[in-house]
Parts: sequence; C-alpha cells; structure tokens
Amino acid sequence: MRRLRVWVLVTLIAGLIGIPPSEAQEIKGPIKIIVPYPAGGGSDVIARLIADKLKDALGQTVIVENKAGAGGRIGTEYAKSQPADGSTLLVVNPALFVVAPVVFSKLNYDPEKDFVPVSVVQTYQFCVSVPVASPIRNVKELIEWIRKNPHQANYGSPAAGSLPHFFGLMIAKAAGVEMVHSSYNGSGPLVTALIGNQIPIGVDAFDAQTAYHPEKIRILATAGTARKREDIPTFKEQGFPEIEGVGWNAIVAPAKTPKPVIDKLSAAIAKAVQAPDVAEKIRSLGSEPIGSSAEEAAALIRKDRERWVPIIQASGFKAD
Amino acid sequence: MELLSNLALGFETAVSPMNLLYCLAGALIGTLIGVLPGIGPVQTIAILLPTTFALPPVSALIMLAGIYYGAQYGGSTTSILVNVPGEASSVVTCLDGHQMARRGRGGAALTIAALGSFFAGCFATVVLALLAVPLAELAFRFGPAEYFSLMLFGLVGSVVLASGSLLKAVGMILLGLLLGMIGTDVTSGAHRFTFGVPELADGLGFVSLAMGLFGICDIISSLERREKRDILRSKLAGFWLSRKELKDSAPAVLRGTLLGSLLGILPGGGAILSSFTAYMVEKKSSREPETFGKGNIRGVAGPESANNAAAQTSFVPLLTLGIPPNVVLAMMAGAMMIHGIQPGPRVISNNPALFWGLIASMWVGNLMLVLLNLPLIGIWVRLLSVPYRLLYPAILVFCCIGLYSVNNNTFDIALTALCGLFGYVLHKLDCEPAPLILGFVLGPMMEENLRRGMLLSRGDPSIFFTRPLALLFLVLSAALLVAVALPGIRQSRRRAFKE
Amino acid sequence: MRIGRPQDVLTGVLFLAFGLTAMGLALGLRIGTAARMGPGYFPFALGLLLSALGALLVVKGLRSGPPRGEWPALKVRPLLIILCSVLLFSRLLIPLGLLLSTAVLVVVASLAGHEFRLRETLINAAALVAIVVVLFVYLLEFPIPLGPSLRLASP
Repeated sequence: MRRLRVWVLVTLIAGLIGIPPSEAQEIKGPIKIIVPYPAGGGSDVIARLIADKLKDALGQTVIVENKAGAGGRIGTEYAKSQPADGSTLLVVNPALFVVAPVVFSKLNYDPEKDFVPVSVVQTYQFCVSVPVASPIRNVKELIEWIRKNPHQANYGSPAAGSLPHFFGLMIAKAAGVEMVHSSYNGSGPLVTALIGNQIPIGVDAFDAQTAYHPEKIRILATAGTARKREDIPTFKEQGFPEIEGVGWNAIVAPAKTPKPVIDKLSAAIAKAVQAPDVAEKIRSLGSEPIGSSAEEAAALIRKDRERWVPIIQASGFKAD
Repeated sequence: MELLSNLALGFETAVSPMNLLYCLAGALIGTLIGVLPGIGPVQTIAILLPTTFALPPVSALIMLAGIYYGAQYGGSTTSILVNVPGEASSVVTCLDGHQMARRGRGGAALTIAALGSFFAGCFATVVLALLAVPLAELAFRFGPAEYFSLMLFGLVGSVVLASGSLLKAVGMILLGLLLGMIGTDVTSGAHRFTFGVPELADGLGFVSLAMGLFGICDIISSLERREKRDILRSKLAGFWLSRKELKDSAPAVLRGTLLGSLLGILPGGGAILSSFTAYMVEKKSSREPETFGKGNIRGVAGPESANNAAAQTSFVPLLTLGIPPNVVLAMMAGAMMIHGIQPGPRVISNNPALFWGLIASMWVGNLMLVLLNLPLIGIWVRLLSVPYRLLYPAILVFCCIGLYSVNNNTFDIALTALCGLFGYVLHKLDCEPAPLILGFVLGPMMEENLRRGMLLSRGDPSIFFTRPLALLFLVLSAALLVAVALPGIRQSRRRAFKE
Repeated sequence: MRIGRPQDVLTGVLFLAFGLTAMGLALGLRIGTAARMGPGYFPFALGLLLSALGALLVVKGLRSGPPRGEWPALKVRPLLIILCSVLLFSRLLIPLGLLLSTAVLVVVASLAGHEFRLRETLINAAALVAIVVVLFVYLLEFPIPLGPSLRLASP
C-alpha cells in the first residue's frame, strides 16, 4: 500500500515536471549532496571528494551544498523535504542517525521513515589513550588505576553526546567502574589537554588522537574487530570482547527515492569511493574507504542502533 | 647559522615563480573576501580547498596561508571605512579606525593598519622561525584553571574598551556573557535559551551579532542624524601619516606586535584576546585616554599589529604540535593531511622545504600585501566619496549576502535585523557594544573551563589559587580592576563636588 | 520628582529585564552543584549579577537631583525601513533569487534616506545587482540561487 502511494506520488511529480515515468530511473541533475555541517569539516571533504567522481560516473553536475546548523540536524531536516528523485543526497553519521533520536525529545526527522540508506562511505575506529607520562600501559592497568583513584578518574571526549562520550561509558560499564566525563570543544583541545597532562584519559577517534602528537600520547587499545595499527591491540584481545564499535559516514537519500535509482547511486558511489585516488585520500585522513551497497548500509545502521541505544539510554543523557 | 641555511632553503622554495604566483593569488583573494563584510577566510578556504588538491602541497599551503592573512588585512579595511567588523579581532579596529575615517583621516588609518600589520607580520614570522618549538610548550601549561583566569583577565580589561560609564560597561560584559550562553552547552550538550529554534542550537552567530550591533545600527543612526556624511570626502588629504601620527603609532605598533606574537600561540582565545589586550594597553598607557574611541591613531596601530602578529604565530601550535588553534588552521591541517603530510613536530624534519618555504612565503606574502594595499588605499578612500545615500544600500547588500553565505541560511539575515534593533536600543542608551562582543566571544570558553576545572577537582576551588599561572592572571585581574575603577570613582567624586 | 538620569534608568530596566529573564530561564535547566555545575548554574549567576547591576543603575538614576541628560529622542522612520529591508531580503532570497531580492533590498533601503530619487535609486540597484552577480556567483561561485526557483513548493 505504502509502495503504491510512493509510486503514485513519484509519477505525479514526474508528470508535473514533464518527465515520462519510464525515465524516472534516469537521474535528473544537477545532483545535490547536502552536507549538514560547515564547509571544510570531515563530512564536507568526503562529499567533495565523491562529488568529483560522481560527476563523471553519472554524467551529471554534482554540487555540494552546506546546510549547517544545530549539529547537523538543520541540514538533515532540510534534506528530507527535498525532491526524492535521486537528485538529493545527504551525508550522515551516527550522531544524526543513532544518537539524536534517543537524546532529543523533539526531532524533526525520523532516520528510519524519512531516509533510505544509499552507501557507507567510510568507517573509523575509536581508541582510548593516556598521556605518555602516565604509568598506565594497557586496558587492565587502566581499570585498576581507575579503581584506585576514583577522584582522578576523569575521561575527556571531543563533545558531549558524541559517540566517543558513550564509548567511554561502554568501557566503564564493561569493566564495572565509574569515570567522570568531561567534554572538550573538539579533538584538538582534547589532545592538547592530554599532552599537557591536564586530563588523565582520552576517548576519541583513533586518528584524531594519533594525527597530532603521536609520541606524547599512548594509545591503550583500539575498538575495531581487527587491529588498526600493528602494535596496538584491540579491546577484544585484551579481554573485553564487549567493547567494540566504529564510527562511520554514510550517504542517504529521501525515503521516497525509487529503489532502482538508489541502486544506481549506490553503485556509482561505491565505485567513486573505491577509486584508487579517492581511497588513498580517505586513508590519509585516517579512515577506511568502504563504498557499500544500500543493504549493507542499512544493516550497519541497524546494528549500531542495537549497540548504542541501550548505553545512551542508561546514561540518562538528554540534549533538550 | 643553521637558521640562515634553513631560511635560504625556505626562500628558494617560496620565490619560485609558481609559488610566488600562488602566494599572490592567495593574498589577492584573501584581501577581496576580507573586504567583503561577513565573508571570512573559513568559507573561502572551504570552497577553494578541493581546487588545491591538484597543486603540489607547498603551493597549496602557501596559497591557503595567503588567503588567511590577506583576509586579516582586508577585514580592517571594512572596519575602518564602513564600521562593519567581519570578525572578533576587527571589532577593536572599528572603535578608533572608523572615527578617524569620519574625520577625514581614513587614509591614515588604513596606512597605519597596513604598515603596522606588515611590521607585525615580519616580526612574528621571525618569532615563528626562531622560537616555534619552545613557545609551543606554553600551550600545554594551560589547564582549565589557567584558561579561566586568562579569560577573566580579558573580561576585566575589556571595560577599558568603553569610554563612558563603568557600570554600563560591566553590564554590557555580563549581557555579552549571557548572549554567549545561547545554544548548545559544550559541557552537558543541553540546549540553552534557544526557545525551540533549531537555528539557535549552534548559538547566536558572531557575524550576525557584530554586524547588527555595528554595521546596521551605524547605518540607522547615521540616517537618523541627517548627518552629512559626505563631508568625508572634503578632506581626503592624502594617506600619509603626519609626523605626530607617526610618532604616536610607532611604539604602539611595537607593543602590539609583541603582545600579539605571544598571545597568538594560545589555542582558542589567544588570537581574539590579542587585539583587545593591545587596545587596553594603549588606552591605559596613554596620557590622554579620553581621546580613545574618538579617533586616536594608537587605537588602530596597536590592535592591528597585534592581530596580524597573532595570525602568524597561531601557526606555531599547528606546525610544531599539529594542533590547529582555530577553524581556519583546522582546515589547513586537513589540507596538509590530504596531501599526505601529518601536521606536527615531524613536519620540520621530514619536510624542511615545506616548513621553511611556508615561513618564507609568509614574509613574501606580507610584503605583497603591503605593496598591494598601499595603492589600494587611495581607491578605498575614494569609495567614501560616493554619496552616502548610494553607499549605505550597497553596504546592506554586501552584508546580507555575506550573512547568507555563512551557513547558506536566511535565518542569519533576519537575526541580524533583530541584532540591529538591539544595537539601536543600546546606542540610544549610550551603552557601547565593544565589551559586549568580547563577553560574547569569551563567555562560553570561560564557563567551559570553570566547569571543567571544578569537575576535575571534584569541587575544590583551590586549583585557581595554587597553580602559579592561574594565580598570576587572577592577581593581574584584581590589579586591573582597581586601576580601571579608580579613575572612574575619582572622576565621579570630582563631578559631585562641582555640583 | 524629576528623574535625574533617564538614560541610566532605562539602561537599568533593560539590564533588569535581561537578568531576570535569564534567571527565570536558567531555573528551567539543571543548576547542579559547584562541583558538578549543570547548564543552568553559570547563566543563573550571570543573571543575578546583571539584575543587581540593573537595580543599582535604576536607583542611582532615580535619585532626584539636578536633571542631567535627556530622554533619548527617537526617529522611527530610518529604523523601521532599514530593518524591514533586511527582513524582506531574508524572506525573499530563497523564493525570488539573488537578482530580484537584491533589487528589492536596494530600493526599499533607499526609501530611508532624506532624499529619494527614483531614477538614481534604480540605477544604483541595477549596478549593485550586476556587481553582486559577477562577484558572488561567477567569481566566488557561492551557491546562491540566482533567479526564482522553479521547483514545486515542498509539501
């Protein structure tokens, strides 16, 4: 029934604009990739890298539109009401699609009902780290130290309500200890505080920590299923299999975008992401290039919801 | 001697014809966008970033750096000519610079801004080359307690920005601090004072607030006064400095440069504080503080030099630690990573040509900017001879488009109109907006650090008194408070006596 | 009784209004303790200080004495027209595009001046539209809609 309504609507709109419905699969350009963040940030760079390649693959003009505000929620809400004919794409992340629905009582979009996943572009790992002057060498010693020093057991994350914030809670819960969370205004200030020994423990994306001053920060563990770097064991290897999680960026489209169009876009994006030069650039920014199918993207988002929602709810964190 | 050979390597890289061209392109684009109100280096660099992917890394960085400090130059032009500050540091330039323009000394104000910036840029580049590594360590000594006391010091000092009533100035700071609370609280992630408006979740936009309080409000009150602003053109009187102006401004440039070089290194508030602090120093050390805010050239020379010096030394944390101290440099860090260069201490050893080339190009870029801007001053000043009834709609147009481009959102434009109304009310009440702006910028950082400090110490306030640097700033704040309050108290007593 | 300093009284009232509003709104947030300050702690303290300052200004200003300073004079015309022109631009930019909304902004704003000359204003508008299009759309390539958007209104 729902499907039917979608098709009636698409046909109607297509008819109004004057395209025969049979051609609805052909994506009418220009294609807009909406980035719900200011230009120059991580999501923006990704979008611009892909836009360049998509241009050639689809033979359409592809433009990146920055619609920043409210931690990405304004751009996301804006994207949901844009034409659902393949000409609207949106770059999203777990903060918008997993965390926001739990922590905002009034959210003007529904990640499940308003959008359909197209492709996961990249994933990145989380890690826990200490200043190099710290006596802590691995996760076991970290837990012990926290037990012995409850008054100093503070950890910093790059933002309140970010995945690293909740990842810290995941560690505490798995180890049965308590840590006080202090959020910083981004990765840069967090790393500065770590290096300066102003905060004893940091939780952040792996690359945000290592990119800066690698010899002054000690990474205790990374959170993926496999090692991110040869010499740093994962949590699982150190006896905490339940501590696991990755961050990601995905591309989604408004929910009513027809399935054949989605598949076409997925394939084109996957090809763009896996192109050697783009993949290389993504790696140099510290992430893993993925370029998944629409189904794989949906599965990742679903799995992440199961993983994080209970932790976020247990934390009692509310944003509004 | 090693320094000399390093610098030689740097200049070899920087003056290659191609790099010179990119340096010039960056400086030109930077000046252009700096002059356009509301459009800053952040948006421009973001848009140009993809085009630099194709360039060799050194050229890309040289061009981006050119945009960054070119915008600093250009920004002061708009502040002086039309009283529209594009970013926090040029708010101070408005105070005396625009007054100078109104008295027909706009040319002199622009000249001292350009020359002061050039001197500061050259000096700070040497500081960067010589002391980058030891200075970088300074940033690590700043924990929450140190930051909080530094911000407090800045706020107390900002009372000096106002020339009227002390109580009103304090009130304006508090008001600014409160306006700064609007948006998402960094510490808890909760929304405050947003009234359910999603656009406010990121806080009140700085550009909206500054443009409303200065630019829009200035247009309204000029129209209201029926003032013949066209007299501005009667005394173009050249743009060279008079002997007295030169004598007044030279030491101010020197002081501003030193202050800016030092404060620019601190991540976060450093660069913003530099121009405010320089103004404070000039006004407090002057024998005629009452002329500040009415077109004292020292009020332009000091802050302009400080702000440019800080722009250069803010590269210190990026190049030596890999930590970008502000948004523009964060994007430069991104550009470096895309080119496969990890910003950080290893840049110097792994990519000496890049590091020293960038430093040398800063010097070259500053020279280009001053050569570019001095002849332009004549054109800028002539712009003021356009009848005001044609000029102010143009200012409005550029402001509005610039505002839209900040977030590609028309909300910011409407918000600016509201800020303009607010500015108008303040203007009518003789409340000067400059302290409010500083409170607005520093407020969130101050609160964040106060809360973090108390959280990490589990509620023990002694951290603010037992850490030497923090204590130093607290003592300085107290001393400044006394110094600021005394003349006011004495004056009002004298006034009461007369009555 | 004559009010000594009307401007101070008005400023005090303004500060009081902002301070009390801030305190009221901050009470709706979590206040917390000194060790764990909630989002309401700092704003509440600021509101308290600002209200106290406002009250002080009111009292000082009301104290009878020789009147100094006057009630501020208002001229509503330039204020309203300028603000309206900016608000109009923000409303019109997306549906009408850059060309038309810039022209509207210039013409409306020009009405605020002391002398309005239609011909001159129109020439000014045309010139500014041309400059703006070349500068922002062609040189800087900002993503701003040029003309009216032909897209069907979103539901």
